[in-house]
Amino acid sequence: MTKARDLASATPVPSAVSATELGYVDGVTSSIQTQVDSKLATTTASSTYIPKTLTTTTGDVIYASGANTPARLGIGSTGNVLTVSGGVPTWAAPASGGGMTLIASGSLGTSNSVDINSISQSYKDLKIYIKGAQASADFYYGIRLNADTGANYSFNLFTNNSTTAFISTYQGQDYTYSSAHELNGAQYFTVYDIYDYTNSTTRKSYRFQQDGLIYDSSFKTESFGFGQWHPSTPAAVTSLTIRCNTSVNFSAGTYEVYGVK
Amino acid sequence: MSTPTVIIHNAETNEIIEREMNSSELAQFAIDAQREETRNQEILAKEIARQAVLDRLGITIEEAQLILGGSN
Repeated sequence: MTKARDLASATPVPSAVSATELGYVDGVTSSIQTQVDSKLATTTASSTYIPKTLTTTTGDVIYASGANTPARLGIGSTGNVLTVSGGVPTWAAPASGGGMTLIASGSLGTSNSVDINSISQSYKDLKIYIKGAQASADFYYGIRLNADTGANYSFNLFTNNSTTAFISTYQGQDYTYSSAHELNGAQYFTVYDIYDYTNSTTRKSYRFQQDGLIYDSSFKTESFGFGQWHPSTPAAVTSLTIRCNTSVNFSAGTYEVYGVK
Repeated sequence: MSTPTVIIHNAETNEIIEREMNSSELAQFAIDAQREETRNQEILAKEIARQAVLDRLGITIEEAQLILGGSN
């Protein structure tokens, strides 16, 4: 008996080793331990398999930081999304989807004007809603920017009644205004849009829409206006004033100021 | 007319107060009132001038709008 198969065929079979077990070593031509060591050699394993120790924390993700180079990416924060930066994956907050954020809101009360200051500079545009503005007599109202009372507001106003459209041009006004509202104007609505309001180097363009009654209350009207605020030194808009003409005060109505991404 | 009030709304802290206008605000209020009076007089003057033209032509405002292309 010089080979393993001779042992496997021996009779009687050695009591401590079964014939099946002995059959496993049939054909072995070199040290089994040497062969096993060779297969498990660190250099061989690291070039063939990703070690499980690469992942150290729950949520870890394995990616290739280079060709044949596994790397660990730790989990991001709640709400993060997987994105790409510099050619490799990374977790990041999702990009903003835009939309409107309410910055300030309140009642016009019985005031003559409402000053809204400390306006956030985190948005692109401003949108102002004025709902149901009323006063104790025929009135008109509008807005000032940064409390600028100079003749720095120029705008065009398209107004219509039931049969005719009017175009009016207002240059160098001390605020932007539109047509008057009637006393019972709870249903009327005005919106102003001020574009790129944080820009400190250019004039500010704006537009507005308003419905109500024209100045002498002779007929209902819808107005659309657009214009510019053009102080000698352009500035970011940090405050705005909603004011009605001086002969009356507001008696009702609300305002909402939104930042628009 | 009692002293007009102004509402001050701090958009950062959301603090809202309403108070009577102070002296500087009242001064500006007076300036605004004068400007409005001037503006109203200009509007009235334009209306009078326009009506005078219509009277000379012997047409109504609606007829003038038809000629000028005004439409609904």
